[in-house]
Amino acid sequence: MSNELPGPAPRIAKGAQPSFFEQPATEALYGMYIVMLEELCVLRDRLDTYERLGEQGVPVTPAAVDAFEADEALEKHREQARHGLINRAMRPIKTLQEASVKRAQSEYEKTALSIAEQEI
Amino acid sequence: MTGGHEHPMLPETNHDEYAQTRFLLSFKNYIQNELDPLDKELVEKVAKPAFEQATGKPAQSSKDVRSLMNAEPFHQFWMSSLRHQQDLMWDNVADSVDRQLDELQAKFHGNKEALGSLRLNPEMEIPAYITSFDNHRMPGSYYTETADNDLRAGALFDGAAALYHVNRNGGTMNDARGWTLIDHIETRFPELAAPRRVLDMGCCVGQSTLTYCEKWPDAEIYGIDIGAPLLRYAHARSEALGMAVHYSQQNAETTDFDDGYFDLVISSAAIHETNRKATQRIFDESHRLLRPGGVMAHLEVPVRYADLGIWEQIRADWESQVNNEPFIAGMARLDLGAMAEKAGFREVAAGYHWQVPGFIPGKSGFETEGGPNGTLKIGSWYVVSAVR
Repeated sequence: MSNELPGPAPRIAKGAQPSFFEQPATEALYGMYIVMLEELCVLRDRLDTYERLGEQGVPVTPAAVDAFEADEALEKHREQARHGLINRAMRPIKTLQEASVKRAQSEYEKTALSIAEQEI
Repeated sequence: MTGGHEHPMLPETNHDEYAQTRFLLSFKNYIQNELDPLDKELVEKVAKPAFEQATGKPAQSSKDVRSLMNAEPFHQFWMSSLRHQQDLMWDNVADSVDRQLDELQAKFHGNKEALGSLRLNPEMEIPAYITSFDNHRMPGSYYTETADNDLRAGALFDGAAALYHVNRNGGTMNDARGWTLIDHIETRFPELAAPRRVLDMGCCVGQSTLTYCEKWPDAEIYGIDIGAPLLRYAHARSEALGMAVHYSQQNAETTDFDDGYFDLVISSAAIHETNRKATQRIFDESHRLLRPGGVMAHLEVPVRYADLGIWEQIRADWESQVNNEPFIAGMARLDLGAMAEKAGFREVAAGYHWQVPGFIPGKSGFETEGGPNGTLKIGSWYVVSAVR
């Protein structure tokens, strides 16, 4: 096979398109959820840029927004805000882990108890 | 030598594209710092005891607990989170690259006074281990051309690389692997002080290649790869940074250079994108290309199954099976040192070399043992090196 001929740029990777959940629809929905989470973070940064420009008395134009550069302190502030949002968004998923660990622990204790109570 | 400085060929980001990169970095860090430990806890507290209870023996490998873990709802979200952040990264960077592709192509075509050279071979057959799937889920892989004289794949790869490595591989230059190889060569082969000709196999967009220009300014530096759009971009990138590299489109298994032409033959994270047979052929070809006394050094991801705990194997399995890097799992079980000896090399060693510039305080040099308690030796690269 020689090099591919010029054509439109592919946007889906060739290879595994796995579904990790019982329902493939859950995989699709989770993909959409991550995209929305990203867009929410982007919109928050953009809104924050508007407010900073407003503080500086700079008219909010597309060019002014693109030219805006956050300093280190602002980058850190935004990073903390993003982390907080991601953490809230992921909390229900973390709860699933806690439930599994607790269930395994209680099953282990039940088994240990039943062995302990067996008559020798 | 490395770090945040950019170059004229690197795709630029507008406000929202930059904000996307910040989200991706935050999300990647969140997975690594907060979800990975929970997934590992599931292996330790749920899957391992369940396997032992069912079989009466302790779990030995990721294979033993795979079906138990795959049934865990948290683990499903963990695997899916890794998958979607990876797909989203390529999608975001592709939007950004496509927005400015005409300007990037114009910069390439405007560059006529070349320091180095570019030699393409449209007839070269691209190996099936590259064409069967898109490595690390990069749509179009290294070779798909979307226009005449296209460099889009190179811009996409370079635009995403710092994000992919969470800025730990030398910032926007992504050249830490090159500096690490140089440190390895200086550590193991001090007598090779000033190589005259150096070949970088699977050079991609030349991220590591340029460190060899900087380190050995009097040497002739050559880079080969299978992807024409990568090499066009690599050439433009090198020229923009004032570095002379001779790039050519060739398969590292069989090149057109003369016997004994090089003093040093190296690669950075290229082997794991081939297969077992090709790896042996690349070692054989490295041997043919080196003069007697010349040095071969291939740097790889620091994944060795024998050194890893069960969760760390699961993480490597994800790279292999989901991230379209199937040979990671194979390569990480191969005795690369024995393969180098089979190719005819002497003074063979294989082990972990701490990254330069490092991000784990106090860690430097070459070691053969793996990370403590089966952990991945993050901050190191696995290197197999030898003398012809």
